[in-house]
Amino acid sequence: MKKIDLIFLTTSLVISITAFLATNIIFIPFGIFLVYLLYYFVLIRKRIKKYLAKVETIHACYHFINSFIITLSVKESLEEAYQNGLRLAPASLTKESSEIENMTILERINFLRQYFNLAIYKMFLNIIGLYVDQGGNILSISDSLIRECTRVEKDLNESSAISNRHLVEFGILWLLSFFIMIFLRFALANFYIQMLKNPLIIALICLFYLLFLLAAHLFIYQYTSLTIKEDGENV
Amino acid sequence: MFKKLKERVNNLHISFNKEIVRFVIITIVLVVGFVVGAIISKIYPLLIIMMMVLIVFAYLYFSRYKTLEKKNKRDDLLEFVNLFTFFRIYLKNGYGVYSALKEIATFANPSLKENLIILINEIDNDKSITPFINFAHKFDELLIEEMMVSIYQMIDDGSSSNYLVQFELIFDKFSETLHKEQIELKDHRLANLTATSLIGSAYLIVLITVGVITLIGEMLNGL
Repeated sequence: MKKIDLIFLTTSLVISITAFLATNIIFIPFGIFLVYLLYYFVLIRKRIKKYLAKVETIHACYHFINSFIITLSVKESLEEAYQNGLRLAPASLTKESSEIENMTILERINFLRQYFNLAIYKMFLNIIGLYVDQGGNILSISDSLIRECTRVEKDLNESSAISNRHLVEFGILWLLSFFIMIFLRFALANFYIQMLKNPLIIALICLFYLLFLLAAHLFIYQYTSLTIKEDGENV
Repeated sequence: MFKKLKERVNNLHISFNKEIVRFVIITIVLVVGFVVGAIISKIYPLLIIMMMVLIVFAYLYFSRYKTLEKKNKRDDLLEFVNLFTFFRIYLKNGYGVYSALKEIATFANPSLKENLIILINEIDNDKSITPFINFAHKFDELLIEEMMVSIYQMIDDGSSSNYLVQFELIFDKFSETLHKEQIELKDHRLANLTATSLIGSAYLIVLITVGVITLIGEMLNGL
């Protein structure tokens, strides 16, 4: 089980326990737990995983292109540039490259287009093609590409920092809302038990959990939105 | 009004019939939910709340097309910036304007690819600035028109580096502003969603108030 699955399962479980405390009815927390799990596994898990993989790929692509071009400009060897490009590669990229060791360097970097699946990598391939065909100074040929890579990496880091800051705020503020509900449950114990005899109150409490799920969904959707251009021909 | 709405929805490449069916289904679910809730709890004022919820829902449902139109326009601008970043790279590596445009068409998303192909075809038949201006008019941005004029001048004057510098200056400014706005937009949207917890807290207060009022009502009836 992946870390993200565990985080979501734990969160769902804790929320379901609060639902039991809030309603005193045993089947409601089960229902809420089931709805949250269904939501996660059916609707949002794929999107989150795709987002995490994409972020990892963008960082890897940035490091690969930068290291490749800088090494190529110094050593003028595609082989060394390729090896240096993979120096800081994530496990998935190292695994991918280990499977294509019998290919030539140009075939290998062309093959990695499927892994990166980014328009910027396709541009990198065009520039390497141009360099191999016509020669010249790789640093001046790829100047604009490196600038664009740096811009993408900088924007992604800034966007991730903003998203993480809001994620913490979102978590803390909703935690306070749940805390208010549990506090009322115990502070107004007798009065609260009387209130729970009304089915409307039970329905409204369940609606609160759905409201949280809706807010979480909108938040996750926004958190995982990326505008980095993919390689159109590979999508 | 209905015809206008249909035209608007179709322009967004969304099926109008599906939209109406979805609206009717959600409305029926809401009505049934509220009516059953009102009958079970015997709180008939819930039906007044239902009317209010339906009005708000209908407003939000049909006003979202404006947001979608804005989003599509913004996506087109971002795609333009992404593509013309590559266009610049091609120009700097010795490609001519025409071949660079052809190359970037392979990167484009379907909607912009169509416009780029139209531009390339028009350039084949019309050597004036008109195809470039027509292309620029697909975006509501004066800076794009200025960039297209610079690109046209590059063709007309044989990819003069002065026009390349002019294009780069305008493009860099535009690209930087757009990417900065994109990050600010995400920040703004996430901040708004963080504030939903306040709605959650307010909802709990309403819940307790309803509980108190119901209990007082029951006590009074009991007396």
